Amino acid sequence: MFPVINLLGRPLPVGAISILFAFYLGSELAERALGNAALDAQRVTWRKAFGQATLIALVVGLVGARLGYAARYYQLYAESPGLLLSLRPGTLAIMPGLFLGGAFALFYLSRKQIPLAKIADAVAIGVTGALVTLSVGDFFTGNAYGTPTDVPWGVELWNTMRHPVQLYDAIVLLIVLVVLWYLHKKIMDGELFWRFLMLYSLSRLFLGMFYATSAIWGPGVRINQIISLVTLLVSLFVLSFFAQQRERTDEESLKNQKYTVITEM
Amino acid sequence: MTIYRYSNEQALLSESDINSNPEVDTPKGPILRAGHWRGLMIVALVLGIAWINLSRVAANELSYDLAQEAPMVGFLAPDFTLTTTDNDRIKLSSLRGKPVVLNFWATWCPPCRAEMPALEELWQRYDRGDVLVLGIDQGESAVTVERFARGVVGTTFPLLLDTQREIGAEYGVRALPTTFFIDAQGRIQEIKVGGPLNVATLMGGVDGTIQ
Repeated sequence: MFPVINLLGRPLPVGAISILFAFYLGSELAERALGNAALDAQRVTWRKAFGQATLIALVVGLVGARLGYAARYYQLYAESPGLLLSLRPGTLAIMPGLFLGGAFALFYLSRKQIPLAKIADAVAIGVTGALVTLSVGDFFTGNAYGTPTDVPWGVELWNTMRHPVQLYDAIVLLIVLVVLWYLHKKIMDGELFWRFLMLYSLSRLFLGMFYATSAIWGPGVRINQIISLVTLLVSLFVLSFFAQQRERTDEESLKNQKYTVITEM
Repeated sequence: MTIYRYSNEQALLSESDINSNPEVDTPKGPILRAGHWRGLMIVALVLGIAWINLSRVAANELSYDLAQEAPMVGFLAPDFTLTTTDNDRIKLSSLRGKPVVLNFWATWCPPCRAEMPALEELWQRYDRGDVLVLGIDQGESAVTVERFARGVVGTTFPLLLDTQREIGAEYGVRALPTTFFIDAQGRIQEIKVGGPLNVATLMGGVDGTIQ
C-alpha cells in the first residue's frame, strides 16, 4: 500500500494524483470518441468544443464544489471569506461540483449543436477509462479494499490476506473499455451509453461480492449490488428498444432495396 | 435469374416471393433482437437475485472487520498510550465517547507549523474538549515541542510525544502532517495526508465523525 509517494523529497498523495490522471485520460478518450463519431467536416470543431467544455467543467466544477462546501460551513466562511480561495482540495463538496460542472459542459456542447446521444456515448468511454485509473489508484492507496481470502493472489493488508478487488475491477473495466471502443462506431447513437451502463452494472453486481467496504442492508445484503441489479435491468430494457428500432430500420431498408431491384428492370 | 415485373406502382410478385429470393441483398439484422434483450432481463433478474443472495455478508465476516485495528478508514484506530508534554499519560481507547482528531506533526515541518493555529481554533470551537484534538509530535523532545507550540503559537490542546516514532509507524505515517479523524466509537472516519489544513477542512473531518 502506497498512499503517499515521495518525489524529490516532497510527499505526493497517490489518491489525488490518480484523480488528476483519471480526469485527463477520461477527457482525452471521450474527446477522441466524439471526434470519431463526427462527420469529417465536423471532427475538428467537435473535438475543439469538447476540449473547451472539459475546461469549463473543470473550472465551474471547482467553483461549485468550493461554494457547496462553504454553504455547509456558512458561518465559518462568513467570518473568514479568504478561505474561499484556499488551495486545499479537501474543502470541496464533490456532488455540487460534479453536477454544476457537468451541467455547464452539457449546456456548452448543446449550444455547439452536438447531439446529446453522441455526447453520452463519448462520455461513457471517457468515464470507463477514468474508472480504470481510479481503481488502480485505489489499489495503491488501499481504499475500497477486498474481503479476507486464502487465494494465492491475495494481498496482505493490515495483517490479513485480502482479495485485490481493485485490480479485479481495473481488469474488468479495461475489458469493458476495449469492448466499448470496438463498438463505438458500429452501433446507434446513444446505444453505447446504455451498453456501458449494462456492462458496468454487471461488473459491479459480480465483483460486489469481493468488496469489504460495501454498505450493508439488513440481512447482510450489499446495497451496491441491489443498485447494480436495478441499473442492469433498466439498461437491458432500454437496449431492447434500440434493438426494436434497428429491426424497424432494417425492415424499411429491405423494402427500399427490393424496390430498387424491381425498378432496375 | 429471376425477373421482377413492375407496372403501375404495383408489384406482381408477392412479398413472400421476394423474401425467398436469394439474389435480393438483405441487410444484416441485429445480433440480439428486442426479444432477446427482454429475455436477458429475466435471466439477469433471476441470476442477479441468486448472486446477491449467495454473496450476502455473514455476521462473523462483519464482526471480523469491525473488530480489526488498522490505520485505515472504517477500522478501529490502533490503540496506544503516550506521554504528554505535561507528563500526563493518555490512552487512546480510554477516550471513546468523543470524536478525536489525531494530528501527527513535528516542529521542523513547515506545513505542520502552519496548521497549528487551525488546530487550536478547532479545539476552541468545540469548547476545548467536545472534540478532542491530540498533536502527536514525531521524534522530538518535550522541551523543543513546548518551546514552539506553547511559546510561539500558543496552543492549549494536548501534545503527545512519540519520541521513537513507533506510533507514527503503526499508523503508517509516511508524510507530515497526517491527520486522522476518529469517531466516538474509536473508528477512523477520515485521513488527511499533507497540509496545512485550514479550519474548514478540519471541521469537515469532524463532521464526518459525528454523522
